[in-house]
Amino acid sequence: MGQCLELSAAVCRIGVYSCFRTLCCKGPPSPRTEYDVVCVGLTGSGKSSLLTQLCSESTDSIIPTTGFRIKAVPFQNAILNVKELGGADNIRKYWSRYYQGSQGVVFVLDSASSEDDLETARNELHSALQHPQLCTLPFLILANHQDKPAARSLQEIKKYFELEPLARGQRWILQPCSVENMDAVKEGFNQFINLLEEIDQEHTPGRL
Amino acid sequence: MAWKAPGGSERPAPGPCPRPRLPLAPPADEYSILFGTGDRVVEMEDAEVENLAISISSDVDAEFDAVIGHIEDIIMDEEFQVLQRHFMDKYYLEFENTEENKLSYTSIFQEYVDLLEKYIEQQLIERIPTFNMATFITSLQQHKDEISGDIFDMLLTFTDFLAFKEMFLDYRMEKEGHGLDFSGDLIVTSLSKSSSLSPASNNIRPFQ
Repeated sequence: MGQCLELSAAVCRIGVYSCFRTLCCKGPPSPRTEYDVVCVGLTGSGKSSLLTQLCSESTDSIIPTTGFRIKAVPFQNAILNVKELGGADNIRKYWSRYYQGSQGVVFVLDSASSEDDLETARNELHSALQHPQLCTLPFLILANHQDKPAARSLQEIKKYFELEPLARGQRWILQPCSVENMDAVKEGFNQFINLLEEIDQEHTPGRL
Repeated sequence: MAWKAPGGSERPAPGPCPRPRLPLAPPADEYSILFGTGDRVVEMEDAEVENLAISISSDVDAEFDAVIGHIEDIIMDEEFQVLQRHFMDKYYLEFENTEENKLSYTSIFQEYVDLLEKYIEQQLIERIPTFNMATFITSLQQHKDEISGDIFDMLLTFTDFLAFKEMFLDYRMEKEGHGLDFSGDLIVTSLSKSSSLSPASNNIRPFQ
């Protein structure tokens, strides 16, 4: 009796795991294209919160990520398999270990952070833009926390981060947003997915 | 037939790369021609039609079946079982059943692949001198419905991080001796409470 319970519990658990792994929200799987992207940004920029909200899950229990997460986030035209990495000082050095296999980069920044933190974010973004495994990939830059009074505007961010000179020749989208305005977030992601689709069509099949 | 890979879709690696890594994309058309399409539903026994595409497909399928047969032998062998068990005993306590993954999981995953996948590859090369792991993994995508769940799941743990993590979580549950953790749900309530008992014997201190 005990063994049967264990076995069926294990089977249920595997079943639940499989469903959970497919999509973070319990919708029916549909044949949408999948893209693998990596999501980075300083701690507190809002990566976990945004991705959790996109999956319609509660953000109540979110604490700073000390490792990494893998989430399959569904959109209308595609599913993004997002590898989200913690952004604390001691974790950032490991980011590059997770770049391989990515088709795009989502960089989240806190528009309302201190000058020092903004400078750190700029350095990290520049490193990512120039990293050999990421430099040919499209970037979605989310200027988060736009709902805060201290938030820099879109123009200020674009200028401060020197996107126009530094990211020349690269494909990027700068989207202002906040967790209060998920429509803006989704808009940014939909544009990002369009970029991913374009690139997919440009390259020969079997591109790594 | 889209493969809902957890944490990443699967695609074959292009020529120069030694083996596909997480994540991989869906098979491209040229691979379908070489290794048989994913849509093939005709059983080997029914393939009576004599044409070049089918005969190529049959050869590759026969080779694939041979490899699977050898893999079954290798993983059932005592040497492999011991190797795998030692490895899992070394690390199973590191794994927790949470959505967030510790950074250490990645290095353990790397070590796992280096140890066990290489062992299997070596064993296969001893048995089949022309064996190529990359082409085999590609065939695996096409034939996933034809091989037994156990074998497929085990092979998946070499390329799919979430499958690897699940394997460790299942092992941990098994080691810790229960399928479900009821410790939070069971409350032991004494039925012998009565007003005749003095507060002191219940270790209730008077409120001061």
